[in-house]
Amino acid sequence: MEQRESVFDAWYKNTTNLVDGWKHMANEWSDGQSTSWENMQKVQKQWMQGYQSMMENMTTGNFGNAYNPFGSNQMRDAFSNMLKSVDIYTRLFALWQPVLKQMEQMPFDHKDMWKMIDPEAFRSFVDKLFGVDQGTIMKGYYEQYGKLMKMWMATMGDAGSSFGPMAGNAMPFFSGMAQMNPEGMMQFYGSLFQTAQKGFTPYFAQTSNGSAHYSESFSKLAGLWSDYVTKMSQMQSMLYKTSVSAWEKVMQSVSEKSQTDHSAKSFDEFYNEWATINEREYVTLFATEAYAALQGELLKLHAEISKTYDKQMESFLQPFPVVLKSQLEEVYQVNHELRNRISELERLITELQQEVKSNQKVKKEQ
Amino acid sequence: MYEVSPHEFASVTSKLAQGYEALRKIEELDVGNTPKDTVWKKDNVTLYHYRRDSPPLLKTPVLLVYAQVNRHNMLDIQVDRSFIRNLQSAGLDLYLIDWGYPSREDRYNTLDDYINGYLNGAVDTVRQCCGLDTISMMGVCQGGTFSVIYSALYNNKVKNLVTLVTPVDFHSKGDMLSHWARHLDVDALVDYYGNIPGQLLNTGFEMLKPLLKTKKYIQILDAADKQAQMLNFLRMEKWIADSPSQPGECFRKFMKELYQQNKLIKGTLRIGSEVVDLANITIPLLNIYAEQDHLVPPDASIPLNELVGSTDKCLTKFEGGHIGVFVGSRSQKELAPGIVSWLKERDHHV
Repeated sequence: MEQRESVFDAWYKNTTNLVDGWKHMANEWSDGQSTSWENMQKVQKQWMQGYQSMMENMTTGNFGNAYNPFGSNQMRDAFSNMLKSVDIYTRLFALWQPVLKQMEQMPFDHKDMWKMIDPEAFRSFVDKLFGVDQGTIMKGYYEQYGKLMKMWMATMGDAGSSFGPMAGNAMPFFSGMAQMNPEGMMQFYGSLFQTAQKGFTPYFAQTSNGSAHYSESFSKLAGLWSDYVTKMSQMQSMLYKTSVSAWEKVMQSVSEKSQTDHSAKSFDEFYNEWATINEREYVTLFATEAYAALQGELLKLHAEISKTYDKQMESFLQPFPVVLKSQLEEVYQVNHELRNRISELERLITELQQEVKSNQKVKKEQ
Repeated sequence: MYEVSPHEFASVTSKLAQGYEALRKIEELDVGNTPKDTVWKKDNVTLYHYRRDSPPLLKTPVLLVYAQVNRHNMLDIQVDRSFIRNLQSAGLDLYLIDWGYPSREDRYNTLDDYINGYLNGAVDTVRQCCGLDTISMMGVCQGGTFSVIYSALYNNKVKNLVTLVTPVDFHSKGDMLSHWARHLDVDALVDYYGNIPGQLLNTGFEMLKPLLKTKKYIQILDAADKQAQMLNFLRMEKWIADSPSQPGECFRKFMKELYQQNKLIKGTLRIGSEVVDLANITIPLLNIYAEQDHLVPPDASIPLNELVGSTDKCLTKFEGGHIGVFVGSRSQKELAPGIVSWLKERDHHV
C-alpha cells in the first residue's frame, strides 16, 4: 500500500508541477506572443499523455489493480471517461482556435474556415469521437494476434516465433495508409495474409488437420478482414462528410450570431452550440438506411471474423489435452436441457400434489 | 465575437486534475439499497420482497418486472430518488424479479423459458406468499413487454397491469433502435457471442445521442468540488455501466420476432405452444409513457391501449425521458403516488 501511494503521489506531484507551469504560461500569454499558444498546446498535450499512459498502465495490467490510485474500478472508469472527454474538448478547442481568433478581426468570410483547420487533425478528431480509429484498432488486433501466435508457437517449438515481429513490422504502414482508399487497404491486407499464410504453413502442417485446411482458413480470414476494413472506411467516410457539413453549419451559425449580441461568450458556450448542431447532423445520418445497413454489415463481419478466428484457434489447440470452447458449449447446452427437464418434473410434482390435496378434500366432504 | 482566451483552454485541464482528486476520495458507491429479502431463487433469477415497517395499505401485492437490459437498480438509485421507496411509502407491498447476470448456460434460455418458466414461477410464489389468486404486475421497458405477454397468457393470475415506458409496436416512426435492429443479422451475433455483451448494447444506446457522454463528463468537471452533485452523477454512471449480457436465445427471438417482424401487435407471436393475443388482456391497464423518450418513443407504447381487451384502461403521458421518468424530481412527487392511487381504486377482492 505504501509503495502504491508513493508511485502515484510522485507521478501526481510531477504532473501537477507541469500543469502549474502551464497555467502560469497561460497567465502570461498575450496576443503578441504567437509562439506561446503553440507551446501551451504542447505542454497540455504532454500533460494529457501523462494521464493517458497512467490509465493504460492501469487497464492493461502493467501496474495492475494493486497500483490503482482510485478507491474502486468505477472511479477509475469515471476518470477514464473524463480524460477522453477532455481530450476531445481540447482537440476541438485547438482545431477551432485559429478560426475563432480570425473572427475577432472583422470582416471574416466564413467560407475561409477550412483554410484554417488542419485536415489531418480534423480527421483524427472525428475518428476519436466515434472510436473508428482504424490504425489503433488494427494495431491492437495484430499485437494481440501476434502475442497469441507466439504463445502457441512457443508450445510447438521456438521455430515459428517470427509472426509477432512480422505483424509488428507492418505497423508503420497502417498509419501511413490512406484511409479513404479501400482498394489499397484490400491489397495491403491480402499481401499481409499471404505472407502470414506462407510463414505459418510449415507449422500448421504439424497438427492433425494439415496445412491445406489452414490455407483455406487464412484466405477466409483475409477476405473477411478486407471486407471489414473496406466497410469501415465507408463508415468513416460517412462520418467525415457529415462532420464537414455539421462544422459548416456551426460556422454559419457562429458567423450570423457574431453580427448580433447573441454570440458565444466563452468556448464552453461555443462547444455547447457545436455539440447541439453536430449531434443533430449525426442523428440524421444514423437514421438513414445506408448507415443502418452498413452498421449491420460491420457487426456481422466482426462476429464472422471472431468466429473464424476462434475456429482457427481450436484447430491449433486440437492436438493438446485442453477443453475447447465448442466442447464447453455442448456441455452448457446439455446442462440447459437437463435444467429444463428438472423444471418440467418439478411442475408435474406440484400438479400431482395439488391433485392429491384436492381429492383428499373431496373425500373429506363426502 | 468573444475573444478566445488561453485561460479557458488551460482551465479545462486544471478541472480534470480536480476531477482526478475528487474521484480519488470516493469509494465504491451503493445503489439499490432499499432493504429486501430473497423469497425465491431459480438458476440466476431471484425474487425479492421489499421489507416494510408497517402493513401495506393495499391488499394486492405488486410484482415489479424490470428489463433484462441494464439493472433494476435504476428504480432505487439513491434514498431521495427511489421509485421503489416512493411506491413503498405510498403503501404498496412490493416484490421484484431480478433476472441476474446470465451464465454461459443461460445462453440457451428462450423467451419461453423466461415467460412460462421464471416469470410464471415468480408470480406463483408471490400468489402463494400473499394467499391470493391474482396479483398486480408492473413492468418497466422490456420488462413491460414481458408483463404484457405474460398477462395475455395468464389473465387469471394478474389482477392489474401497469406498464411503464413499454414497447409493443416495434415499427413506430422515429424508433432508431428498431431502425438499426432491422438491419442486424441477429443469428450471426447470437451464434458467435452466445450471450450478447451488455457493452455492445450500451454502445448502441450511446450512439442515439452520440455527443451526450462527452458533454456530461465535461459538465461534471465543474462540480468536482460539489460532492453531492458528483455522487448523484456517479451513481447514475454506475447504473449505466452495469449492463448484463443478454441471454442469447431470448435475445434472438426478441430481436427477430419483435423488433424485426413486429409480431406482438400483429398477434402472431408464439410463446411455447400459445399464440400471444393481446385482446386476451381484459384486466385493468395503466399504460405510462415518457414524452421525450428516445429509447422507447411514445408511439411504441401508446398502441397497447387499443390492442388489449380491457374496458378499464388508462393512458398516461409523463414529462421527461426514458430514465427521467423514474429519477426526475417531478417523478419523486407524482409518479409513484399516482400509480398507487390508481391501484388503490382497483384493490377490491371478491
